[in-house]
Amino acid sequence: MQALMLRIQQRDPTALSDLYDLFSSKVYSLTAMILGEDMAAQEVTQDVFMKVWDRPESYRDEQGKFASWLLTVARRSAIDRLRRENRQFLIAASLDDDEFPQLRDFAEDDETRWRELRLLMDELPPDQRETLVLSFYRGLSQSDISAYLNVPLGTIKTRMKLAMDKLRVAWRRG
Amino acid sequence: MDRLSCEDVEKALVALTLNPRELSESERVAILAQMDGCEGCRELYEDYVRIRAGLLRAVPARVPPPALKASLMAKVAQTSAPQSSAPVAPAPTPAPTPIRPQRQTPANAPSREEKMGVMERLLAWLRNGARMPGLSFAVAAAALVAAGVLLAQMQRQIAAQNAQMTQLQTTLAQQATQVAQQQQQMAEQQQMLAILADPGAHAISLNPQQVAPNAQAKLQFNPDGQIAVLSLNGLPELQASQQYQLWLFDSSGTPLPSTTFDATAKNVVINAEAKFGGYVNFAVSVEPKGGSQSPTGPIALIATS
Repeated sequence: MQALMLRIQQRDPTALSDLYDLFSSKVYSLTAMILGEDMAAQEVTQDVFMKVWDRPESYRDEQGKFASWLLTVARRSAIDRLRRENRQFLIAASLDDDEFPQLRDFAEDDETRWRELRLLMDELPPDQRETLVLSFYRGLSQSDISAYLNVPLGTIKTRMKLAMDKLRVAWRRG
Repeated sequence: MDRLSCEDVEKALVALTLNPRELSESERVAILAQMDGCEGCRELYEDYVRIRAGLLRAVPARVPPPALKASLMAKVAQTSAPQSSAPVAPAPTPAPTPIRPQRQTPANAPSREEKMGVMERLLAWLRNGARMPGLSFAVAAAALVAAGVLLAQMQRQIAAQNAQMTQLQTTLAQQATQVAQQQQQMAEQQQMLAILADPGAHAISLNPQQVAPNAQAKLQFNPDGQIAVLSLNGLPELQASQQYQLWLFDSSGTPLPSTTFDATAKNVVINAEAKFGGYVNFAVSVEPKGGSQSPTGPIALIATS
C-alpha cells in the first residue's frame, strides 16, 4: 500500500486506477448504505477517491490500516452529504472523528468476519440496532438520537452500550 | 478534571469510539488518561475500535457501475498537472468535470453522459484530454492503449459476426439447393403420375440383352408429349465409372443421347426435345459415367419396335 500511495503522490493515474479497483466496492457499499441512494453514493465515492488523489499525504501509516482510513473518509463524506441535504434529521455540530489521534485500527482482513458482524447486527434487538445505525451510519449524537426518537438520553446510552457489548461478546467468541 | 473511574470510562467509550467529537476535549483527555492506567478499560476500548472498523465494512456488498471509474479517471486526467521531476506535485484544484455524474432536473433524469456507452465516454475523455495542455503523456498513452484494446475487441467481434453471417449464408444456400431439388423431384413425380394415369399413354417394353439378362424395362409416354417414364428392374450393378444411358432413335434411325441413370433407378422421368411419337426406337447402353454423345458400350436393353 505504501508503494501505491507513493505512486499517487507522484501523480501516477494508473496508481489511482489500481487503488480504485482494490477499494471501490467497499467505499461504494458503505456510502450506499449511509446515503440510501445510488447516484449520491456514486458521487461521494468519486469524491473520496479524488480526495486521495488531491491529498495523498493525508494518510499516514500511524493512522492504521489504509482501508479503515479510507472507509472513515468515506463515512464522513457521506454523512456530510446527508447534512448538506438536510437528510440527517438534525445536527448542530460536526462529529468528525478524523482529528481523534487515538483511533488506532485493529481491523481484521478476513471478509467472513465482516459478514459475521453484519449478521450479529441483524440479530440485535430492533431498538438497540436502531440507535447504533443512527449513531454510526447517520452520524447523530446520542442527544440527537434522543430527541429524534423522543426517548430519554440515558435510555439511548444504555441501548448503545448494550448493543456494543453484545457485538463485542459475540464477535470475540466467533 | 478528576481522574475517571472505570465505570465512568466504560459509559463514555461507546461515544468515544463511534462519534469521538461528541465528547468535549477535556472529557476525551480524561478518558485517555484513565485508559493508560487500566488494562481492562484499554482492552474494552480496543474491542470497540475493532467493532467500529468492522461496522465500516459490515454493510451489504455493492458494486459501483463501470462508468463511475471512467468518470473518475476522466476527472483525474483533467486535473492532472504536467509531469514533473518533483516527487510530490502540488494537488491541483479539481475542475468541474463534464462527464461526472450529476443529478439533473428532473431529479431522476439521466444525464447525457449517463446515456453514453463506455466507448463513447472513453472517446469523449480522449477528446477532452487532447485539448488539455495539462494532460500527461502517461494518461494519454494509457487512454490510447485502452482505446486500442477496445478497438481490437470490437474488430474481433465484427470478424466473428462476419464469420457467422457467412456460415448462415452458406447454410441458406444449401437449404435453397435442397428446396430446389425437392421441387424438381416433386415436379417429376407429378409428371410421372400424369403419364401413368394418362389413358392415351403408350407402353413399350425394352428387352434385356446379354449384359443385363434379367432386367425388365418399360417406357410409357403420350405420343403427343415430350415426357416419358422409364420403369426399370433387375439392372446389374456397373463399375463406379459407368452408367446406363437411354437412346432415342429418330426417324432416320440415328440414336440421340438422353438421360443417364444408375442400376438402382426404378422410375426415371425422360424429357425429350421432340414428341415421343416421332421416335422410332429406344435402347439402353452401358456408357462412361456422365453419358456419351453416341453409343460406345454394349446394349443392355432395346425396344422391339
